[in-house]
Amino acid sequence: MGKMERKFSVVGKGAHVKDAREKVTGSLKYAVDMKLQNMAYGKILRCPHPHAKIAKIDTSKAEALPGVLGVLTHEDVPQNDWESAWFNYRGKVLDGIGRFVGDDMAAVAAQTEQIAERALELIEVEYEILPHVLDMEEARKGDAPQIRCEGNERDPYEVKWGDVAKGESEADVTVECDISYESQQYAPLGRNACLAEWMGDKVTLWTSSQTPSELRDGVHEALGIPLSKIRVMALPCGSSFGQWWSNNFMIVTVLLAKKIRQAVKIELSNEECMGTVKRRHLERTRGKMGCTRDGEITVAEIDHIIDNGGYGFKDDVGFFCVDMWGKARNGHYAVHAINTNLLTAGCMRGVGDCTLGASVERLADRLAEKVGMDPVDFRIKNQIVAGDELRMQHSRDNMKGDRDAYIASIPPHLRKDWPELFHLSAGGTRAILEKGAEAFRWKQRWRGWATPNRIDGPKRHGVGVGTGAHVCGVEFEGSSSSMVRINPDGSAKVHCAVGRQGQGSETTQSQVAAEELGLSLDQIEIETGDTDSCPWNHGSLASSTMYRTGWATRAAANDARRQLLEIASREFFDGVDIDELEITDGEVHPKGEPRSNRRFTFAQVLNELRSETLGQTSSITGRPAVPMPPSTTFARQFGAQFAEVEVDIETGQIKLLDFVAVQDSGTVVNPQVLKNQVIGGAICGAGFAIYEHLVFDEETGAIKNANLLDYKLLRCADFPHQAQVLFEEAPDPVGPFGARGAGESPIAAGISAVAQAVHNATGVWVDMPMTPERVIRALAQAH
Amino acid sequence: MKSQMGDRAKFWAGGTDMVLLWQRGEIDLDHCIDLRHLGELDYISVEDDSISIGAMCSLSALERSADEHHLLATLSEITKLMCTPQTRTLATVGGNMCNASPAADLSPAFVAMDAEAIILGDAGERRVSMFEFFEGVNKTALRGNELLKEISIPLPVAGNIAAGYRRIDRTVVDIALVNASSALTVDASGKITKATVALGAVAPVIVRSEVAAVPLVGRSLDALDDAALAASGEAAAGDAKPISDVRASADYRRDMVKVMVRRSLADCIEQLKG
Amino acid sequence: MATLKVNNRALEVDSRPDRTLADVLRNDLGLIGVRVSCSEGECGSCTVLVDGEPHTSCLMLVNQAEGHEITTIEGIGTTDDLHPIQQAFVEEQGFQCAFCTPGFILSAKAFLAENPNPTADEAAVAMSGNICRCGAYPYIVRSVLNAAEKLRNEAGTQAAE
Repeated sequence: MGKMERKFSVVGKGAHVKDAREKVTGSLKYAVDMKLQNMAYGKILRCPHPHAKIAKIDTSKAEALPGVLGVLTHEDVPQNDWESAWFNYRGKVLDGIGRFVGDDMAAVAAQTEQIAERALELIEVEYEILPHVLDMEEARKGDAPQIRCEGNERDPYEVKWGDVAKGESEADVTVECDISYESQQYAPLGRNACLAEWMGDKVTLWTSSQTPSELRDGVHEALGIPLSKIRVMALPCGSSFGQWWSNNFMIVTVLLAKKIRQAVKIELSNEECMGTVKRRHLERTRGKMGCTRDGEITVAEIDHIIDNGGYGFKDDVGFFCVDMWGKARNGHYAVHAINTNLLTAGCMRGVGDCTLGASVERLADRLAEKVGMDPVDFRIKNQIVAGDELRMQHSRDNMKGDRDAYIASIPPHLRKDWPELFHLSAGGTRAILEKGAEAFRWKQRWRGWATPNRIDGPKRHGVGVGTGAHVCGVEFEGSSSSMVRINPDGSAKVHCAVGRQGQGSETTQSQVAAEELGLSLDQIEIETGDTDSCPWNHGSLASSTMYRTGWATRAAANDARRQLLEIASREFFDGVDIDELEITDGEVHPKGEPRSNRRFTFAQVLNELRSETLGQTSSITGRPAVPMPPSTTFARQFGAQFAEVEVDIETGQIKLLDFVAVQDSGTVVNPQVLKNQVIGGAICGAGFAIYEHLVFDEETGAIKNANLLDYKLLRCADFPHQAQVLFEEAPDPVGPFGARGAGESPIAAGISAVAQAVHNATGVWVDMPMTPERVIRALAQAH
Repeated sequence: MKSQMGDRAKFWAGGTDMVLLWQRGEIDLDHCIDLRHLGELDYISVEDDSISIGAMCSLSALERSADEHHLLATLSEITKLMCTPQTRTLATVGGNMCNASPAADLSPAFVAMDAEAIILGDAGERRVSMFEFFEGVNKTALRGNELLKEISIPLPVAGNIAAGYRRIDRTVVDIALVNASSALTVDASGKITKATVALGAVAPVIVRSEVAAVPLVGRSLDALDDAALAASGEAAAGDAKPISDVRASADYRRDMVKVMVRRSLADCIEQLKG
Repeated sequence: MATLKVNNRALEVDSRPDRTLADVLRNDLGLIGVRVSCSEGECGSCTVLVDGEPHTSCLMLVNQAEGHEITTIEGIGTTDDLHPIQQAFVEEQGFQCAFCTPGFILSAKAFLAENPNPTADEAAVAMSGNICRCGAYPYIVRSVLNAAEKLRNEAGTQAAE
């Protein structure tokens, strides 16, 4: 893929984000900041048991408390299942059964939060205690208590290629692993709230969400009312990482407001945000990998289990690492997802990449160590490059057909310009590994496997490298759309239902539209939250915003541009082919002549139409004309990161000393936005690698550290401030101006880099998180 | 006022722990007596024979006192490990002591320095060693309507004293998983005349390990080798009675006592040798 | 009722003892830039300045603030007229979701008043009383250094005048 020839005027420029001034003045509104006249306050009654059924519930005392406006129980709730995006929740809003400690059981609305809290204590519940199971291995057994009607375990998700037995026989060296992962918590800074108000049979809800359209779908499924009667007004989120999509408490709010016929706001406490919504899965990998003496992987055999807690239903995590290490000649990966009576688990940033991906990286590292190869070289040798076949066969299974039948089912006129499906279309790890190794001075700093590059008393320094990959959005749940409207005064607005969780979507989508329309960034406005004005969009998840929504936004802008140029051609340019026209700085002019006297602003073009031909449209609405290609079958993003750590071998404490993060997300639309995303990923990954984990009560599964005192998040001085972010911009053939996705590969790469650096400093591999105590235990076991 | 309200009454100093207790419903604001107008208890003074820290002195004021005495410099460094800058402006030294958390950072240092609590009651003042001041988790030697007035740190009339503090923590802002402080007093000839080792987060109260002093006292500073420090640490670990909780296991805590005692002693020696 | 001095204005507030300062500032005075997240003094989102010193307002009762000058993010600059520290955070993009940003900016203001010419390491330590879950830390450090330079230049210009 050669360099992009076209020069951009808005894309690639380090524009300040559009909401920067609101952000630094504290005036940006999140859901917690919303209020309505005559609004009531809601609180949720939470299950005190890991598994229990309400035998009897008496709300009369609570209802009698002055200030209480109503109580919602499962008896008031339509018994429909609803699903969050990517099966992060499947179940009823309230069904009288608690499936983990902290589960939603009922809700109270009152004049104040304090009254609502007191009323919760007055609800008398008689629970029938059900047998429970916390351990995912136990939950797989035939006689285990069943948590869901679908059973605790469904069919595994599998990928197979080649012949594993042959791969094993070809291997000169093999390694095995059994690695367990603790559960990371989203630990959001900024709580969430939901405010719902009914007008007749229509409901509006204000909440912070990354997935406004999916939330509307969820309300529709749960209540059984038409989508047209539901309006989601999604607000920006505090840090989310996948936590705030469509969450059950939001639908509880909707039902509570309906019951009391008054607007209600439920604001979750910090403990509720951390202990009752969702979390990353507990996971365990048992695997085997083998390679030849010269470091060619011949076999990868992985059996991975994840726990979904009470309501998670996901089973397809982390196959992007399989793609990335897809040069392995033979492979078999299986993921088993199991329900337990723990807090629901769902997609947290880099789902699977951070766990299954880290296991694959560790197996590969141990092979590299055995054959004496540099980890950078070993990755370059075994990771795919553009044009290679992708191992992930999700599309095939999802489409219930074989690959060729799937391709044949797509009309040829749609796919004629598509990249080759099931093959990597652009990018890869080679360039980012080489660039990072040079910037980090890897060759000078790496002293060999399990060899510290500095020893200072009990302090050992080590360096490490890690890689991560992820899709760039997925098409299975629907094709994300976007709309661009040009108003009679020439101003333009993008309408796309994506999240604003700090990843800059409001800015980057505007940049895409501005570039395509020939406007400056400040001539574009954007609406991301209102499902009444935005077409359906998958939302900001699965690293899809830049790629799939950006594609739609560009297509919508292109459509609006075409319409505008057609009018301009007809009204001002004697009907020339629109390819003979161009737009620069918001003015239409003959191609190549931006200073021509014959140039007209958007407002002139649209007003000409309005004044002379009454009844014609006076504003333009652009939308994508065709669906985006199924990018799961060809597009990936890649991250490579290099880290230096210091390990105190007497205390087990780890310090992060240096970081270089290199990202391949295709064309960079906004460098500072992307740098922030990448470094944020590295920090979140490093935090997971060394501290972050939930502690569950052994008896009940209740979370013992749903607070920021004992759930440790990295702080400013915990991460090297000189960390560098570098880009490789292998342009994508489909993405907007060559851009791809970005958010999730950086978190995975950082985890493996830190883990390998600790190994090189100490000689031991430590399971994540590598807390001081675990490091000491691993060192003690090694001696 | 406190004598009128009796046991339910609580004193309110900086309030940073008290607000948490109130939010959890563990205390009742109607029964809190605000001490924040007691400006006369907000002081740090250095005399020839002692350092006095008023109970209402904020953690940030203690942090800024480093230049006034080398023991205050040690305490200042400890203070920097406590909570966050914007909570240190609110929290007070006295409040921190009266909260009597076994993991509190200043507590083992005060015990190692042989500090005393000056307690104000109806009958006037009384003094209790900081070691005896802590009676359990959130329990102190304060009785009835007594109030902590001051922490008084004695200074040796001849020779010199130095104190060290070490803790195991996770991120740069954390509560100690386990901590240790030691203080060494030397005479003019450089002989150690007194050694005190105090441990935190290994029991409901701060532990003072007498046996940890044995390998140290009577020896010359120059003769203290790694083995002596390690022996002191080993001895101290024997006095630790830690539990396992969400932050660390008992075994890890006990093991770390050895390391922290050794390192805090090394810090003392480094200071004394200048 | 009691009078609170907030952002150079005297304002009447309900001062029942069971209200935190953060609660009153947010809910009674509508100063939504006072963010509340952890409610336990860990995250620093609710940081306000009291007589110029940073305080976690979620751990303070409203009557503790009576008689003192309280400054919230709303008191240091507006979208049309940013404070130099705010301008620096915009330029370096020292935030992502920005829920924590007002707290960081106020911590930075107090820190730079004490240390007008900090090193990057000093800035990193000083900014550790606040949590940025998005992980903008390296750019927060740059924002603080950029702000320090802006404030020094401003002070220099004023001195020259």
